[in-house]
Amino acid sequence: MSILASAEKQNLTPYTTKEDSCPQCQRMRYFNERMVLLVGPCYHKMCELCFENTFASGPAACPECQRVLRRNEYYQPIFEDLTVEREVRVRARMAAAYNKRQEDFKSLKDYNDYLEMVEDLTMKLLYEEDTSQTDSIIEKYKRENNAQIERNMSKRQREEMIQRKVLEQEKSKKLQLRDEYLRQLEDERREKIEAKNNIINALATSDKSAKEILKARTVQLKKSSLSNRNAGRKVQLELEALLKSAAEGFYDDDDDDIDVEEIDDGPFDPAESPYEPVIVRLREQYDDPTPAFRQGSLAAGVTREMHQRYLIEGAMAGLFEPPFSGSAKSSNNEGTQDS
Amino acid sequence: MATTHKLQIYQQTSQYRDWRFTPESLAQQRAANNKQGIERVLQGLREEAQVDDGSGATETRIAEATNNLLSPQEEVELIDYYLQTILTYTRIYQRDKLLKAEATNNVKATAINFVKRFYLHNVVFDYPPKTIMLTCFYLATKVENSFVKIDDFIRPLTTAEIKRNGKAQTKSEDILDLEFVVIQSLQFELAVHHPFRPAYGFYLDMQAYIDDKPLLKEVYERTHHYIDQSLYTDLVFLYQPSQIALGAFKLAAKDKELDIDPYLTECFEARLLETLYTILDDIQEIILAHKSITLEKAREIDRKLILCRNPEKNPNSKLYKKNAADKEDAPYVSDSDPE
Amino acid sequence: MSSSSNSSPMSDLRRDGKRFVGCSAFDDYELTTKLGQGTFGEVHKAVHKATGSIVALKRVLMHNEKEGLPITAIREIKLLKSLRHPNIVPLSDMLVRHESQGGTVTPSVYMVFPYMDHDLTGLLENPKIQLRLEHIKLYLRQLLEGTAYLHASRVIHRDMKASNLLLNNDGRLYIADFGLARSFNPDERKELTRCVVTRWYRPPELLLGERRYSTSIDIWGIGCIFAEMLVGKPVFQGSSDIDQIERVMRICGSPTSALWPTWRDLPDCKQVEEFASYPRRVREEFARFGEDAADLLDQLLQLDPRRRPDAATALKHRFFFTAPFPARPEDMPRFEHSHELDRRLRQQPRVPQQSHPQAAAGHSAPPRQHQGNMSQHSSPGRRESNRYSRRDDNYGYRAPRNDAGWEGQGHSAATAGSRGGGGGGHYRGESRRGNYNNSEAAPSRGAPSRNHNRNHNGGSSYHPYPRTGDRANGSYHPYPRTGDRANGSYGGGGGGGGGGGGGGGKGGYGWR
Repeated sequence: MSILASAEKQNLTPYTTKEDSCPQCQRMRYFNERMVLLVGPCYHKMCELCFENTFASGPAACPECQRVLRRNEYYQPIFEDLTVEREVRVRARMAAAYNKRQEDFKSLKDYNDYLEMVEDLTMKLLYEEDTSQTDSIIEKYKRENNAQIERNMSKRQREEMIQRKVLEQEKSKKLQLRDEYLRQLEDERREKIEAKNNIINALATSDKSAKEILKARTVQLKKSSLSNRNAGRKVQLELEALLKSAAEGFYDDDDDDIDVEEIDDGPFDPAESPYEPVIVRLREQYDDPTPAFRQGSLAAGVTREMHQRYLIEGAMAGLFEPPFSGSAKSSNNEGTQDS
Repeated sequence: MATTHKLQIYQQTSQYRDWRFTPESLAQQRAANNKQGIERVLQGLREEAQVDDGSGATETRIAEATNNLLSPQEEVELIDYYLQTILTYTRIYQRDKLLKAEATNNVKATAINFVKRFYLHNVVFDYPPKTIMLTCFYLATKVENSFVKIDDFIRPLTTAEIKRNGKAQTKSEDILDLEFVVIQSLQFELAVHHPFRPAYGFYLDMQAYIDDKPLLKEVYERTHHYIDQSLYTDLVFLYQPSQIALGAFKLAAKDKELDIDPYLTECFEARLLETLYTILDDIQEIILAHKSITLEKAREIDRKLILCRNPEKNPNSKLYKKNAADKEDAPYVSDSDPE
Repeated sequence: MSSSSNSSPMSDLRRDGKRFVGCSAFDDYELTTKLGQGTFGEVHKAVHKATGSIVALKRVLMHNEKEGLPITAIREIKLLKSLRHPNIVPLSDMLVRHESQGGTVTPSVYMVFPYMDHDLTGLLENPKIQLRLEHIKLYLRQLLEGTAYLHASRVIHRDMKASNLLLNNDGRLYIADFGLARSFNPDERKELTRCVVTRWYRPPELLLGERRYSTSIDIWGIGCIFAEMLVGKPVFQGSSDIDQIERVMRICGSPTSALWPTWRDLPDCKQVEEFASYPRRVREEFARFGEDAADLLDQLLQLDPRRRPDAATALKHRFFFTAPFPARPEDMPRFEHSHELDRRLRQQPRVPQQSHPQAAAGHSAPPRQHQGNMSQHSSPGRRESNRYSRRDDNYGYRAPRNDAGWEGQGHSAATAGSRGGGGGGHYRGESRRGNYNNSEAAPSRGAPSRNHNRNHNGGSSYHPYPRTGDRANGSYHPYPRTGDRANGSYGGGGGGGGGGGGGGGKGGYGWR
């Protein structure tokens, strides 16, 4: 019945103190460090030994509340404080069913009303008021909204997966770049040495004039450095493509709830920037009157994308500013600084 | 794009902070300026009468002036004429390759904007618009990174004057002397934002939603015409550049029979669009309602202005010269208008 | 609403401190001390009579009056006035003053900034100040926030360096000196000038001739500043452009196609071929400051400008979200003066930095920042005006002057020790102390070399010891009270020893 896996399954170390004791046999952890306290659905605990004794031959009654339980209903709790444990599990159960998000509602008020309703139910469960009624409400809700619940759940899973993937990709990209870079360094160094040696040899052995030899070599060098450059670029492009495809793999044309591109930019955290972000979707191709940018991006610095992004952002700035309503303009010329 | 309470970058600009008005506050400001200006004219004339040793001529002048005072509306109209000349001169400088191609729109728009802002704190009685216009233009070339040296700047003007009247009238000192007055009236706030870039941004963004690309291009080109028109109006004080750009775009689209509403509904939430449509309608109306003043009317007002110009600020007047002589020893204190 | 010209009422208005819209009268302020002087203007400390607030007045020199207000000044004013952010130095006011001399009226324009006690260079050079990681985090975060705003407003600063970061006593950092900054519109085809950024903070793409750089050049500078805060002195102190490239490569690695795919497209990439192939070892080099710091630095100091994060992204780095957390501004002046001066004296051959004999007690923080940027990287045409000396009567500090930057005439001085105390110890503290014992020393200590300004008088008596007087005493106060710093390096030197202002610092006020 518990949604959360037991502490064991999650590899969590339950909180323990030396004074923990089993209510039944009064054994303390002081004497047995590896004593395991188990808890049942009624949130009464007992130590392993007592547990074995009690449930040796099938279902039995809990020593404290007499509720009849079976072996497999006992587990190792995560929290020492069982009230916390209980509350956490109840809420987890609620969250599994009531997983709507703000964007599913038309207005903030509706969302808040929903949250309040959920909280009411939760409270009822926690205080064990009208449990059966509450249970049935929950079941009913689950049945009716099954599809939506599924959808939201998969949304969340997808999000987590994408994030993980992106992180992985970044990591591997970094590693690859690093390797590539070291390799490049090596290659370039070797090439240099080789070239030098060749020149020396040529000068020493052949009977052409020094000038001719050097000229020929420089041409060769240029060619090889060009191919290196291309190789480098190729690696770069491959990696970029890899990153993109990892994200794209999850892009579902039907679902426009998640825009993978936007996740790439990172969700904008209002706590960190005081300025309203202007969300701009940049397209691939524009017929752009500024000729310099028709050919695509330039070396370092301004790129076509930046240029277009700035323009579109500028177009959106202040678009919804209501007309001025004050009287005189501020004659406060206090530059900018306040306090 | 949600509207939140977070800061928006454009709200930190000086244009947003100090140069926004309502139509009413603009009218009030101009009316107040005008009233005060007239008082000073009369005061100046009276003072000049004393300098004049009662030749009686000044008495007539005062009477003439009183009959020919300009109303706030006439001030606006006269200024409008000189704004048009900015466009003319822009073409000339462009032809003579004195202006950089990419900066031309900005130079002309900034120059126009400086003139308009200047006259929110000054009156034509003190500073006739012709030289102010030239000064603002000159300043705008500096501000918008397309500096035209003063000699190059003057040349087309003097050439035209020689052709017309046989002698050159405009002198570089006329312009340079006013530079400080202008820049102080602008509160040293020189960064002006125009609708050109937002329009460019919209052009790019719309390409994703509008299929008829050649038509869209035509519409974009036509948008420039309406943006130019908007420069004469007070729109820059009432709305944001992006809004004006979109308004101009709508007008152009209407001309070419392209419907851009699908783009708007696709991109923006319905509740935001409502307010936007009202704003856009207002903008379009204002652009279309503007009537450029004719040369004849401008001449007429100019003739009146000659009669009611404030001698205190007129370098050619007796009063001015007397004051200058008196002040030679004392440090000259610059004028800025108190508010 | 123009005002009439003669107005006692108007002067009255001015006297009671009412500021005119946009511009004030020069008479509203009372000048106190001169903070610096150079060919491009002067910086004075001043007091606003009516409110008592202390400001720095930077005068805009009008050389070429034929063309009215100089474009450079217009550019700077335009930018400063249009920017508004807690970490960008505010241009609070502008003053216009017409002086009539014998018939002609010469206007001068002054920019008014709030007075700041230090700049980062001074702080780092102050032997009594030991920046801990939480302080560095606070400063770095503010620097990045200001830069994020700058870049979002489409402005590149183009002169990021420690002496252009002003600090006040409330733990706030301000980016200053926008003399080289410019608006950054990607659709301009024009190539930008290469003569930007002080050499030691110049990013590799600029060293290799990139003309179409972008905001990432500022990020590189921030990386250098970050490293400087950790180590205690500027990390890449090149004596010439070539030397600079090599020093950068020694730590950041030689460019290769893997690290920087487009590096060979740059005009001056050939220069690199002279050198050995260095492996990249940023992380290793800075590992001793913590893995987070090393990682962030590794990102900021990427050779390829496209791989550098932008400021907003850098702000999300875990460096700012792990212990020790960035100090809170109110906790800043918490440096314990229990740190005794280290008795270890590290005598290093140092280029004698001139200290004015008057240096003496308590005076003067070298107005480090008052040196024009131009000295370091002006275009050849302007080089001529670099040859200026700082005649700081009040401040012992005299920046040694060398020919700055652009042509890079080696300045040995620059490389010599400069920041006393060698790099050692972390967060700069310990090592630096090594050099200083008490003494009268001129404020100039070290680092002037950073700005490659050498005194053309040659030898200056370099006093490695901090002065006695209010600074040298036990009550360590990292942010000298304005009172004593009469000299105030306008934003100059950190506490004690007036942090020699990073060599003729260019001070934040874009003192040129």
